Amino acid sequence: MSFCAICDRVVVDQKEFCYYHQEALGRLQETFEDWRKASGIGWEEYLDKLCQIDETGQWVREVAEHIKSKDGPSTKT
Amino acid sequence: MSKLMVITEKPTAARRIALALDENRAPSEVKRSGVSYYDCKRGNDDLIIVYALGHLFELKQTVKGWTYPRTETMWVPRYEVEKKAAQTKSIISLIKRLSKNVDTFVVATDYDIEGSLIGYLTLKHACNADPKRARRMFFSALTDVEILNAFDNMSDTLDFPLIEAGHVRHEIDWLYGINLTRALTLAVKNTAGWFKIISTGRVQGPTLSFVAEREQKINLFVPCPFWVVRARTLHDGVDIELEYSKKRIATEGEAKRIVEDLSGKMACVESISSKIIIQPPHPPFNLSTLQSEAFRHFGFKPSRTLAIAQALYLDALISYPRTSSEQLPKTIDIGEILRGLGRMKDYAAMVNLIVQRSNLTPVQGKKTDPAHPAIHPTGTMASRRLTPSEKKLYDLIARRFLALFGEASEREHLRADVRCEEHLLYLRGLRIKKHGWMQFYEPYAVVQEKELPRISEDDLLLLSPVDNDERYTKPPARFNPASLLKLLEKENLGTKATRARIVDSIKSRGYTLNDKFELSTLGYALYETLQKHIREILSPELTRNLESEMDEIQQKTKSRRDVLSRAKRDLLLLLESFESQEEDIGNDLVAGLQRYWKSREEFGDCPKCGEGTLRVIRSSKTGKRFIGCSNYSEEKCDQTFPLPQKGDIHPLDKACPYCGYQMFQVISSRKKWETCINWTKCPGRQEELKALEEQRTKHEQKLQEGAEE
Repeated sequence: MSFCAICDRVVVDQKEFCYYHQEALGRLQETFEDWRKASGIGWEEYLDKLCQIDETGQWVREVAEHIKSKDGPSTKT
Repeated sequence: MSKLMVITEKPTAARRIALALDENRAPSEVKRSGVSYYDCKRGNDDLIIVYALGHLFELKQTVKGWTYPRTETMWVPRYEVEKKAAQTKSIISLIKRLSKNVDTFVVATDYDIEGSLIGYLTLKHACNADPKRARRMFFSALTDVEILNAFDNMSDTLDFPLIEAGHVRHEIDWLYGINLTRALTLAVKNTAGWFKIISTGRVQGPTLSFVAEREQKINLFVPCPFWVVRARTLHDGVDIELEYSKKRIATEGEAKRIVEDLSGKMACVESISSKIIIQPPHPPFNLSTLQSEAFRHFGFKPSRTLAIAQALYLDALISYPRTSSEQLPKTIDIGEILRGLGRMKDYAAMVNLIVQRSNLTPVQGKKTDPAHPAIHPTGTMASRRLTPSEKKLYDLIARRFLALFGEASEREHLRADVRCEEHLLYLRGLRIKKHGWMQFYEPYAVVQEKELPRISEDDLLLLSPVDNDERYTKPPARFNPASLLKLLEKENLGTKATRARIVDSIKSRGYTLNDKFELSTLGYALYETLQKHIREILSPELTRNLESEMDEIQQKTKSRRDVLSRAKRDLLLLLESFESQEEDIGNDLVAGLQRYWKSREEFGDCPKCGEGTLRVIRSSKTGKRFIGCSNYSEEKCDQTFPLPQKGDIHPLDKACPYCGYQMFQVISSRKKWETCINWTKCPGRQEELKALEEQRTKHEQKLQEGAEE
């Protein structure tokens, strides 16, 4: 049994994260396109911004911080 | 000469009813073993007025054993199932003793499901009387007029459909609450050996689900940027801010372009328009609108509002608060209420104005309630000093009532359209043309007036400076007690009498943190487990169907027996499915509980040994709590930190800016503050510590002085 890279919940479908953080990753990736169109920022700057903004959801922020710290497979270029 | 026993719901109600019914207005209170009753005389009748303490009887399983399923119940005295209800023993014995030789029993409890059931059960189990021969008084306020009217026109029979509905509501709530809670608790016990009550219920499950779904939306929220353009201008020496016609600009590029286009340009006042908005008074309060307004203005939780309103009702100051009605029927003596309010100095002037207008027809709302009118003041003067909270709520109710007779208010919304090439900007103003009902409802109807600057059409304005501001979309707001209660009402879950308690229970069970209904790790654990294994418990559908069936019992279109046996059948199926997954459910709950305890009681790695974890420990000798290393009990590490002994402790995910140790939050009944685990030695907290020491010395001195006196 594998556990989520962020919390200690069980991962879904052998992915990196649990259901919640996986869902957060999906939304984070989807919304990047809106941000790119709106302000033309790149992926790393986007993650930085999300970590700073109060409105960012907790799971989304945790995923953003995890990607930043790891620079792992979830990184978009 | 006949002997009547009048059964009331509470001691205060008994006193009021006795006072109103005794022909000399001097009933004698007879005290027996810490409880009492009233002897009254009325014409040829001797009246004994007794009181219950809410419910005197509760359901208890007939078959022993703390397990599930348990579906057979019987009514027993409340003190047998609830330790705190010891006083009900003396009350039941007193009623039993006084019931002998009574000719007629009269139920004078509140006219609602619970009140009717309380009366019925008291008759049946305390008085050993035949409920079919008992009579019923119906009233909506405890004023002399209403009580006398209810006594003179009492019904020859009890309201049996209401009693049946109350009966089945208790039985179904017991069945679901007891069995599901036991199933969850035993799943944890059988998996990990821990005994931790994990409660859920027929309405609590869906309520938890609403909170959890909202929490998920918030946690998964990805904000999106948008831009707001603001322009300023100086006109006749007055600095004016203009808003850009498009409230949200989607891209930074577009926002910059607009700023560039407008900066330093002349704009022209193209038109000035005004729109009059006429607003009639708000309808009278029902319980839900009162709870929502009391939360908005005073921050009262719905359960607190209900408790205060109940106290005002028992003092005959307001009508019965558990009502859905937003209407005041013609049978209510409006003139008498206004005369009463006119004798109170806070309302005398307003009453004068209303009477001068001679329009004494109140505004009515849409919602109705067959049993009670909308909440209104009775006009009776308070016979005791009201508490500050009671005063506030009474004032809100009294002013809302007075506002019903006011004229509609008129607000003028002004807008100047200011054009600069293809761009349009607005200037807005708001003027109250007629206060109408608002003059009575102040300070609860405050509208901020905003004068439109002195400008005329074709005036030219220099736009400078113009800038843009990056903003972000916001996640949905968390529930507050009032909004959660409103949702339960909208979803038809629970009753007006039970909703406030359910909202409170979500927090008191530890499923949410603080007052913002933020789901706790325990709340998540339960929600996730139920969602995965027994979704039906979270579904509003199941409980909504039961609610509608209970309503049908009240309407006499369904029988209690049918509804109860179907509910039992559904529950047994649910429990069967639960049992078959008990191990998985137990494992999931245990994992969730571990997360919960970690979040509540763990404070990171031990800085001394580096191996253990800092956690809350209670001294076996003194019972006092402190933070210690997990290796402390094995005497491998002696790292400890003191903790405040009062209040809830919540570890925070941040380090102290002065010493780097982990921070935590303390929530006590009076205040909330943050500090670090190293607070007694932290260099940044010595002032705090000094103030605390001074406070403690003062307190001890006071205690000493008190003892010497």
